[in-house]
Amino acid sequence: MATLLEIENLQTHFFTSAGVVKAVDGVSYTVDEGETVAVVGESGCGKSVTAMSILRLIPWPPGKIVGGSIKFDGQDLLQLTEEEMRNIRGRDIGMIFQEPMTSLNPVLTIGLQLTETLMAHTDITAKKANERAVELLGMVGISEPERRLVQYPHHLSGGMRQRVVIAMALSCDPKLIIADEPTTALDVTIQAQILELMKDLTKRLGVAMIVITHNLGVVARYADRVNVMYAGRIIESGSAQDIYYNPKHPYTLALLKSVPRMDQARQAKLDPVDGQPPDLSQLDAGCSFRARCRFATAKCAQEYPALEKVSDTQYAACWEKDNLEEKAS
Amino acid sequence: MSTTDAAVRDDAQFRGTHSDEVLVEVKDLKMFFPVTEGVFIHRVVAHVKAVNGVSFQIKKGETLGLVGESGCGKTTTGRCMIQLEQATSGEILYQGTDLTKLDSQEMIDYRKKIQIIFQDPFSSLNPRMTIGDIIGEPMKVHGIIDDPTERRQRVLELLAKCGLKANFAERYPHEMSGGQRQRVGIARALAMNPEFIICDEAVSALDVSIQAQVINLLEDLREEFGLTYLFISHDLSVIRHICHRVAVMYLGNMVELADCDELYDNPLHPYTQALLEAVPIPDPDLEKARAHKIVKGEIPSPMNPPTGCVFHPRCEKAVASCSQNVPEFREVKPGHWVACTEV
Repeated sequence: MATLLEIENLQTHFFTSAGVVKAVDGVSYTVDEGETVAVVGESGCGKSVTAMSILRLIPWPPGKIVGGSIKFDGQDLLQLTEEEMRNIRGRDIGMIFQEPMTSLNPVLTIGLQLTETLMAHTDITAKKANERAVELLGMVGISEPERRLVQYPHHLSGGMRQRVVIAMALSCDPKLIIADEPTTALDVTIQAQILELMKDLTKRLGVAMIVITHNLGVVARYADRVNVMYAGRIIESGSAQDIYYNPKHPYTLALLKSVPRMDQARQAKLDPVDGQPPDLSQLDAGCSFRARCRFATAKCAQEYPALEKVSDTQYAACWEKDNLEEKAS
Repeated sequence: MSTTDAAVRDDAQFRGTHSDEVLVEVKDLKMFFPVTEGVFIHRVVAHVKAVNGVSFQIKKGETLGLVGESGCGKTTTGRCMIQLEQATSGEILYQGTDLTKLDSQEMIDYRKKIQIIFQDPFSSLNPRMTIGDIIGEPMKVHGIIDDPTERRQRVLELLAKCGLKANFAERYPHEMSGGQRQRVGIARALAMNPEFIICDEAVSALDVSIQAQVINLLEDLREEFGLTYLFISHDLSVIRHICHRVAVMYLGNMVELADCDELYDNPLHPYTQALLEAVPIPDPDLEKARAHKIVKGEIPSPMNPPTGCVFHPRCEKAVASCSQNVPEFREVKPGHWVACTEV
């Protein structure tokens, strides 16, 4: 598969009165056409800022992309003018946000919001746009789509609203969809419906997707490849199988041990990492995880480990990655 | 000691903690919120049946899980139990005393014994009080420790118990992370030496690694002080880990109640089965092998719940009679209760 998106050494910093917060500090990853890539991590690890950087939606001040490149479909998004960028957002790259109540405009009808994207990006008549809107709502499983067009977001439930947001993201046949915690605000049965819908539509339409989530179960169910982020960097990346069955970074290992599993009877207490993620404005040259890491050595304080190849599909940023299995047992 | 030994020991401790003595009993609890219309004269036009006839018991030392999706009435049930809501009807027996019959003066005694930990650590702490004052205030109000120096001592002790440094006593909530705030909420609940703690989505807002720390803290405290928990959550994985018994609610009704492992390994109610099916498991190969039968439709409005069995419009196994007859909540196996006629 051809590479659709290639992020190289992306750096997004926030310049605050308390210092420079390095929210994203040297992130590189790729997304192939039609592939689903998950970005996992805890709050503040920079997973959403990376996504916002791809769309160049970082508010200045205080945020700024200070380095790197984002190649999408052959062009560097960071070199485009604002005008050119606006043509890409919503047309080539669709976006699904976490909270469907705040990502829809409460004073505009569903129909208007759906057709607005279509009319802005394509040469389409209002009548045709309406027909397309009905078709899209039907595609995302909304009953009586004609009636929904004249309704407002508050008429719909959370799950329905998220379906509308998905319909909007798909409206201009994008090549890539960025879904930032798309189901976190939803109930489990609705979450399952929405994720199944997204999986089905992206497979059928051949759309690539970046799913940003903190839910390791969602990743296991839907992702082809996984990037694990911690304190503004990718610390491990690989296929879902690599990450879950053969983690090579102590943080990934700790994350997996922190989640209770629903399918297994209780074995013992959970084994979480101690402490908290570091303050991103106070990072030093060493590995940012070392304060919480049980495998840390003297070297970890001196130099940040690069993301290095472990196998054909897997990369990890840890000095101890080759000894991890031995040390963990 | 090898890890398996530790696991076995922990497991025995976990299962052996509760006795047969009933601490709390809820009988046919109903909580209807009126829906009013009109600007000057409020006419009651409908009722939201948040909790519609729920009964269960919690034994001393046990952790009962209350699980369900939004609007199922699990939080309202918890709030009724600590008298934050005045129940429409039904009894809440705490060691035999019906809390719904007590006046506010008589309730004060029970407020010490029953504590609650809320979901949102950002809104449940007063932003203008220091952490020390937040934890110390209930002891002052209830006259447990009147001497300020002694109270201060106790605050520091509670902070240490909950894994917080002593200098946190001088800080304000905004200076702390979500996990630390939740620990403050736990310390405040412990200040009264309670017997029974209602944890209302106590770990839901936390990141996984922090969530695991707080779960372990709650378990340690349970063992140390012989606490009884009502653990309200929508997270089925956390519930399975921490609870002895689990009750599943849907639209104000209890649909199933059983021992934890029995409920997860052998769910009987179609809704419980659908819930368990919907939860993704962090194991890619297992996920590939699962069938992923996904329940259709959405949760109906509790203002106008379906007739008969409330789950029948979404149920695969529904027969004609399900839309008329309200299923009885019955014991189908020892300790395994279910409200479905087709089981």
